[in-house]
Amino acid sequence: MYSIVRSAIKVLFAVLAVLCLLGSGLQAGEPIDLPKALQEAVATGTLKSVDQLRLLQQQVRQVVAAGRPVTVAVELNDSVGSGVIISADGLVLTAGHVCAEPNRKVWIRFPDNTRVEGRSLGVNHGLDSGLVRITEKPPKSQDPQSQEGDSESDGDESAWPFVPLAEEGVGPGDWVVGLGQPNGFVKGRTPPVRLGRVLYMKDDMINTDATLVGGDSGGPLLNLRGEVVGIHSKIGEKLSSNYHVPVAAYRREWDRLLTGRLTGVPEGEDPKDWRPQLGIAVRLSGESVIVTQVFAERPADSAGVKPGDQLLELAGETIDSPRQLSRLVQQQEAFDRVPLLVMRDGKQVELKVWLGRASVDYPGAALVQEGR
Amino acid sequence: MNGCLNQRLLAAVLASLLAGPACAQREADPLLQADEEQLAEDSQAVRDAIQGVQEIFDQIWIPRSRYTNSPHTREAFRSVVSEVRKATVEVRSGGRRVAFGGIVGPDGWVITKASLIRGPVTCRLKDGRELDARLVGVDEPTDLAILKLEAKALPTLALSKAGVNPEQFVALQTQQETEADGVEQEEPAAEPPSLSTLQAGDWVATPGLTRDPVAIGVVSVLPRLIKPRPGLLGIKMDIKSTQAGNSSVLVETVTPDGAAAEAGMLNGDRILSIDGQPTRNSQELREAIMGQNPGDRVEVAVERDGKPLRLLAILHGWDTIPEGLRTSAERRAHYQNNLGGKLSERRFGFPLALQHDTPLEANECGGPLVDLDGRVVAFNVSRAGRTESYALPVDLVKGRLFDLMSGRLAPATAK
Repeated sequence: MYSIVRSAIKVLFAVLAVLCLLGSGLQAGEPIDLPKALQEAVATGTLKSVDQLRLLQQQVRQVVAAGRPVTVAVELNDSVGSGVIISADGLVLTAGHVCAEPNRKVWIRFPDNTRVEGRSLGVNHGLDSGLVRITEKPPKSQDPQSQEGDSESDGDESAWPFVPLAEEGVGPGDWVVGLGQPNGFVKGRTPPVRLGRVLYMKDDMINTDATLVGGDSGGPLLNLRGEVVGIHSKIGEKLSSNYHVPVAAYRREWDRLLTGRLTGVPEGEDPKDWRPQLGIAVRLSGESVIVTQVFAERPADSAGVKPGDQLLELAGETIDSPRQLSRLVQQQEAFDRVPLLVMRDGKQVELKVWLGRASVDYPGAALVQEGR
Repeated sequence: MNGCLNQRLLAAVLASLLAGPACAQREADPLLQADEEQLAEDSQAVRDAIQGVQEIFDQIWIPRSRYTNSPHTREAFRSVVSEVRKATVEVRSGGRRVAFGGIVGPDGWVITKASLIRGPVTCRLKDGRELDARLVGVDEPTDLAILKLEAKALPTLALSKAGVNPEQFVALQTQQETEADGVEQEEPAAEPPSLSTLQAGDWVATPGLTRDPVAIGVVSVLPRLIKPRPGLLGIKMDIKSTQAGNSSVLVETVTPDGAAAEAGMLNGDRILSIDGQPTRNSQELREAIMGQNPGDRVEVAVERDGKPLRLLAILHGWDTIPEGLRTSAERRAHYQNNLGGKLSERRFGFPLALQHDTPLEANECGGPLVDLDGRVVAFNVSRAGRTESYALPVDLVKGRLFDLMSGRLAPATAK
């Protein structure tokens, strides 16, 4: 168990190292130094003097300065939660229930009310973890120093500001800073700062007394180095019942999150509404299965499937009838990425489909493209 | 304390239950005494069991000292509040505290939160005296009130330029520019730097009469305008009231337990005016109420059976409206915000307020809020949500003091 976590951490760090290389002249994303005097003060369990309180205050100011600009609102059609940017290429950690499902268009709104487009990647409903990627290019860096930096990138490269993920987990009594954008952007309000301590933690949950409210879900819990240690998930009756998903839990299934996989379904929903879906209609023509319709903005459409394509293989299995195709699709997981081999104009074309889910509101005639 | 003991007992019982079988098994079979491998496995089982119990134990028994607002952490603030608590009072009514207040004039002037003052109140001082208080002025926009005690030479709060308002922030920036331009700086460094640099994340403490502050927290958001959320009268208007040519609004039904019901309004009453502002139709009535906050007192002139009548209603927030009348979003927000403490009734609608995360009780508002240097930076004015308390910056409060003391803002009373 431990070694799995270890190797996952290693993989993640390799990923992060690469991401750091991509960003030029990176200022953000570095952990903040923790002064020795403060380390000693917090190690004793309780702060005992005003001097110690002041040391902590100075540290918290730096954590806020680093974390607040990258604490974002994550907006979907009808809901808004929080999130935090954790990489120079625009990965945003959030809660699973904030984005609900992979491959949805979201808006990422910064504390200054500017917004950029993004897309949800992996979601785990059991854990309540979620990942979003900003799909827009980061703004060109205004900082002249980063232009003349010795970076090997071509100067066009710029980076999203971000805070790093913590290498180590938290311990009981650790001081933590909570940030979020409850109810999205509010004029004149910066993401509200909360300070608290870790009361208790286990593999998939951290309990703190840094207070949360509804729209905080997805916002970051930061340690005193300004690193993300958890993501706000839920609250209970008591003021001390504030629960966060530990970063280690994200790391354990990082690959699934990064590739946009779905784990579990939202609470209270029927798993039948979450069956995998391709989004095409087919007919049997002799021995061949031919695509007659491609539903707009559905998985097959996004993958580049065209009406008239002859379907050969899905996930390595030969397709020889519409019924068998449907069975094959049902054997996959919703939001899995599967190879699809088609014959088009006499040539084999290999496509990769990011499967969707069969929702109740299957697109009607208006969305259907006519087959050839 | 009793609960703690029970939890300890429970954990101990669990420990013996889980560890017991592993030990018993080893004693039953003498062969195992020699088998080192098995021994190691056994002790592993015991370790696992102990760890399992430890986990449960950790979860149910969290040492008090670990909480941010533990007495231990608050004790570290003792010297921070030592001066300010001398000029802090408890505002009391009916034998209990209804608010805190701060002494702003040596001859008995006390500032506090207006909407918490209902009926006669007394003030308990740090020296133990409890004096009758007279309500001299009420400032609706800030929900501040001035009380007058018959006393002399009281310790007062030092309302220095604690500078947490945005204007000073602008001033600072200008100064930096002139420095950059190379203009000579003859101005003396008037204030220590931290005075004007209260930042989000900084400690704030709420003093009471006790040695240690009653609660501590950090600044969540620097001062901003807090928009009002309209108060509710709790009536259903007759549909015909919307028609032009009316001189009053007919009350079809009074919502049970609503503000109007509490004020004694009855079905069939005709509302003539709110605070002297005529309400000829439902639109005018709605406008008159929309401008008010939950917790605000309004004078309602009604006509009942042809006779005029004056009622005093205290507007409710939507959380006091019966469940069925609220939307699901409102219910959810209300539910979440009420997890963890009773909220102030008048909690929104302030010209400028600092947001902090101190878990104040509603009756802990009204008094001073100090920073780590022991300076009064603001006055607590509401517990507005699960995570948010609001405090009026000291400069804003200072600006209202003269009018409040002058008698020009004397409170309205029901006749």
